[in-house]
Amino acid sequence: MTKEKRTRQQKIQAIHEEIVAYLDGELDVEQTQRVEDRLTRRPDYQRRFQQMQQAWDMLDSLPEAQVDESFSTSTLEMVAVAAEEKWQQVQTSAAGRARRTRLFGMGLTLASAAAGFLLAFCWGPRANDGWLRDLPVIENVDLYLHADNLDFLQTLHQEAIFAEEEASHVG
Amino acid sequence: MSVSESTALKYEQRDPDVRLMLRVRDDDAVAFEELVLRHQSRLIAILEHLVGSRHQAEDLAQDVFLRVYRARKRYLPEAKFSTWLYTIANNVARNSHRTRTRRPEVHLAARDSRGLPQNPLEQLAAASSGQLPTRQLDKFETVEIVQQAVQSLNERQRMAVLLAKFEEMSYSEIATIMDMSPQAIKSLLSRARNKLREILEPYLQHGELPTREAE
Repeated sequence: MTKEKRTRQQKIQAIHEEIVAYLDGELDVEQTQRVEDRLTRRPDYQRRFQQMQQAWDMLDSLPEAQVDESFSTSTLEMVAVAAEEKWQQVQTSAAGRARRTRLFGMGLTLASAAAGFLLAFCWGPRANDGWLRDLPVIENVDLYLHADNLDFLQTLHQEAIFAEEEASHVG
Repeated sequence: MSVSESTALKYEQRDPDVRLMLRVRDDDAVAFEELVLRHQSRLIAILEHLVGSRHQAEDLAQDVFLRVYRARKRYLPEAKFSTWLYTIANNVARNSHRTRTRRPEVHLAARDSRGLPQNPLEQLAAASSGQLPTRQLDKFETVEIVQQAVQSLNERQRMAVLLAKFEEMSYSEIATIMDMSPQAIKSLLSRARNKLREILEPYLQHGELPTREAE
């Protein structure tokens, strides 16, 4: 396409846009005045304007859609069914959420109880603590009954002076 | 998207459909029924021109109304109700077009709401058998030619033309619906209307029937 032809086509396109925008009431006062001036002065512009308008007016011959009552009835029924399904979905979802909340609550209670028990077990005061603390004394209570000084007995033990007697006693 | 209170109030005061839709938002079933009744004919007519089948247009229109109902809680009066309605319709029609191009369907000869054949050949046959008066045939012929001209437009041109013609929407409103700029709509409508002129002009001037484009 030559440059001249392209320029001419662009010019025609601009004229069409202007006429259509005028017919659609989309021009401002100044542009409207310009179109109306051209319409009075230029027969070719006027002819194209009329052709555009006539073609546009022909669309009025298209028949209006005749819609019977069954369309609106079935549309409303369809929407009602969709609304019902949505409501049931919400209800099911709410019930599921409530069940999950209950289970979570029960789980949390059990976990809290277990944690409490463990805490009490590890760090809490116990009835046997005194016995455990005194266990070394209890285990050596016979020795304490016979000797005032335990260090002296341990020294004897380390030197293995009575090792043979101990062995025969155990055996 | 946030809508200022003044904008919402403006549309609520000016547009009775916005007031109805706000009642639908509050679960008013009667308001929804009224909206359906007010818009069903025009919506079906536009969808029929877009998809070329009355039956499919009704299915799509029901889909549009269902989407309106489902979206009711999110509705904000940021424009005229019809702008919102046709934005949904445009999306539904486009999705349907994509599906149809993937899965072509066979159209059976349809009859209009008066029980008359829509196919021009059937109409001619009916006329020759004396079932239709000549004046009615002229009308059918005009309708057929205009329908043919509209169908020759591409989908976007057709939508813009139908909204401008039958919904009397501004370029700005059509731009919102079709997610384009008003300037792009201006060019689109100009090309579309010039194409209509080219097709209809020979018929208007000399009664010449336009030649069918390859389908």
